[in-house]
Amino acid sequence: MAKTVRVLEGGVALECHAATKRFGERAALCDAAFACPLGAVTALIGPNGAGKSTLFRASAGLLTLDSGGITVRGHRAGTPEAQRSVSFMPEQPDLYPGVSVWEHVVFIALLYCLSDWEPRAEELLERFGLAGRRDALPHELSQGMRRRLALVMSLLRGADVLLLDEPFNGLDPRNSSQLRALVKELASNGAGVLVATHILGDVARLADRVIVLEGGRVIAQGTLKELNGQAGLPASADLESAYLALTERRRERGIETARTGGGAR
Amino acid sequence: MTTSAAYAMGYLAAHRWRRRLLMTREKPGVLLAVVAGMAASVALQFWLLRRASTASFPPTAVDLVAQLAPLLLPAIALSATFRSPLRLDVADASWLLTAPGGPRVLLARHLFGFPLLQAALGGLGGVLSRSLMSLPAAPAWKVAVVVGGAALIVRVLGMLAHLSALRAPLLTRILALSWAAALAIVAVAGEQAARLTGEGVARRWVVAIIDSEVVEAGWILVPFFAIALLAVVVLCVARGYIEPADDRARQNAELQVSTRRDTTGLETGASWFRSGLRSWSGRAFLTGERALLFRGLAQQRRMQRMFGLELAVELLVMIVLLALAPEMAWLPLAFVLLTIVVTSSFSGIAVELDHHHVWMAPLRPLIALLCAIAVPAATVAASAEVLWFTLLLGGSLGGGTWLVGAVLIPCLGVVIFLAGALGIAIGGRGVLRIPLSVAFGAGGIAPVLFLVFVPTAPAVAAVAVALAGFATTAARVVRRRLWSSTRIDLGGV
Repeated sequence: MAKTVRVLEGGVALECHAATKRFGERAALCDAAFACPLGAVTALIGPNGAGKSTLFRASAGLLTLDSGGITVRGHRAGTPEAQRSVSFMPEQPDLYPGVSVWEHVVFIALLYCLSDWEPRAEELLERFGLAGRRDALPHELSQGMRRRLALVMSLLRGADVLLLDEPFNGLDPRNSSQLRALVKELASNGAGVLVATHILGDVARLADRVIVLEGGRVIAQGTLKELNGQAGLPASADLESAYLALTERRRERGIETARTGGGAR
Repeated sequence: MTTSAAYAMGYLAAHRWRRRLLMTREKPGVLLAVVAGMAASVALQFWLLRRASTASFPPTAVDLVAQLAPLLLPAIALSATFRSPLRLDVADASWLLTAPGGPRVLLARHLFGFPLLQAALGGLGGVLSRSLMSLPAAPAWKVAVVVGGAALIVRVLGMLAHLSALRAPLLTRILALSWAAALAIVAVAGEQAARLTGEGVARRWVVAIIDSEVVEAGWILVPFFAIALLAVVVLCVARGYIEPADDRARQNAELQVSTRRDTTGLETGASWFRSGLRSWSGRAFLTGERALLFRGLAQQRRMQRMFGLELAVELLVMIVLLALAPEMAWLPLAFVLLTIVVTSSFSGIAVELDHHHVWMAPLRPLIALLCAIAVPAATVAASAEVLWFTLLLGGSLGGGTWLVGAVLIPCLGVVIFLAGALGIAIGGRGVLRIPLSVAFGAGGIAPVLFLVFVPTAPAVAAVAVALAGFATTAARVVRRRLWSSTRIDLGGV
């Protein structure tokens, strides 16, 4: 696959150049290259173990790549300049046991030295149905509530680039809908939002662009119409059909390569 | 049919153990517990053997434990009447318990699995301690049998009590429990009376275990076979543990709730955190790195119950030792320090390894490190100061020594948690961080202990320089390995 990345209009939120990361024998990311624009929602889709979380952790500066690079608003991931621009919500909410909902919010505000954060925090808690559980401890919350709290913590900073790893897992339809509306609102205000998910219905309703990741490689990217073109489907085909066609074609190519004794690409 | 169930359970158990072994890379607590248990077993047996060589057993902790241990048995029986001592996985309840022959196989695993493990560890400890004393290793089998037998007693008693709770009427249970309690009290009182004449059962048991003479083997083998026989009787009535159908459905639902795994770790020790407290609001001076102080204090104020209970137990043990064996009164303090040294690679800055915000926020590493370890270090120092003061009141310390120690204890807390951070910075998230933290912790404590016993001006200066050097080096390494662009990976796949 070509490693060139198309320059996008309106500024680049996050750019990935031939990013490679291995855990022992296993390649979690392999020459991954793409760019996400500001002011748009980009969805990262792929099967479990495709490398989505690794990509997010590397973008948030929590993992070092073996080769290649990731830049956040033009700064190398992990540098103070990049960290200032990015906010990350991991797949598993990393909450502190014994610290209440409100104290988690206060902790984020204090940690990042936020100013005038209280009205926004109150609004976010209200929006995600946590206003009535301010004094509850994490173990007293349901899985969905914990995820919503992690979301509030990530959104409170108001960073330019937002990385949300599986944000819809465990959310009920009402909260999913509210999150979609909020994400769209943030993007329309100029933020670049990258959402990793395998719930294709949410992607179709939310994303401006889609990146398909499999085996640590980017196998397709673009708008839904462009994905359909790459998959050889009519422009009106839905995302699920495009995804299945693209991944199936990739598998067939892999089997063919293995049969002819080619490389692992 | 029983064979099929046994095969299925063996297959599951093999995979479970394989998974546990692999998990020690991520969660080294289990390995740590086994190593600590082994070390304690070897140390205890070594100590007993040395006592045996001097042919006298003073009325120390061993006798005390031996006398009080029987009182635990009614407590075990009582708890087993309210809650099943069978620790079933969901898979056990869904498949093995309902398979033909499954209840017997499950019960056998429950009855013999843990005692066998204990026997193996105890036996190995016996061999090691005897090797250290250059004694023949052969009589170490006695230790294995005694340790395994003790574990078997607990299991059998629990299962019998639970069976009585399932099948026997309430009055019968109350009667049986009261008899068991009376028996335990008589046993303790009898032991106390016999000890006065030097013929206590506990003493005879200890001698029988560690003595190389095989003559006393009957003291060990007869009770062991009696318990093993009782275990076989329990196995014969295994089906009695299956509830009637309607109860079973209800209990399965409860079981699923009770065995539901939480992978976030938020449920771990959750009951120790006090619920319902009003949340703290932030203070302007707690911004940036000091937010870690806010987080630590917010968490700590909900753990006062656990903190108080731990301190009360340590204090009680120290007071008892001051009364019975003053030369061993320092043991609780040593235990507190040892525990903190061993667990320092899991607390302090280690808590933040799984919390990404700390690594993404614009923090000054050195101040962040100090703020992260401040609350746990202060907590440990508070416990240690109380115990140190108790030693002074008990007359075990001189005023000068106490004063030097009281000043140094807070430094000790900081040094131990810095050593833990250093262990993580060098050893990463894996199991290697534990021995490294222990080694660095021991290296940090040694000069402080030296100062307690040699409180001279040159020694104070030398130790101050050594501690400052240690703290600076540790902070620099931690900064480079955890906060720079070449740091260890802070997240998994």
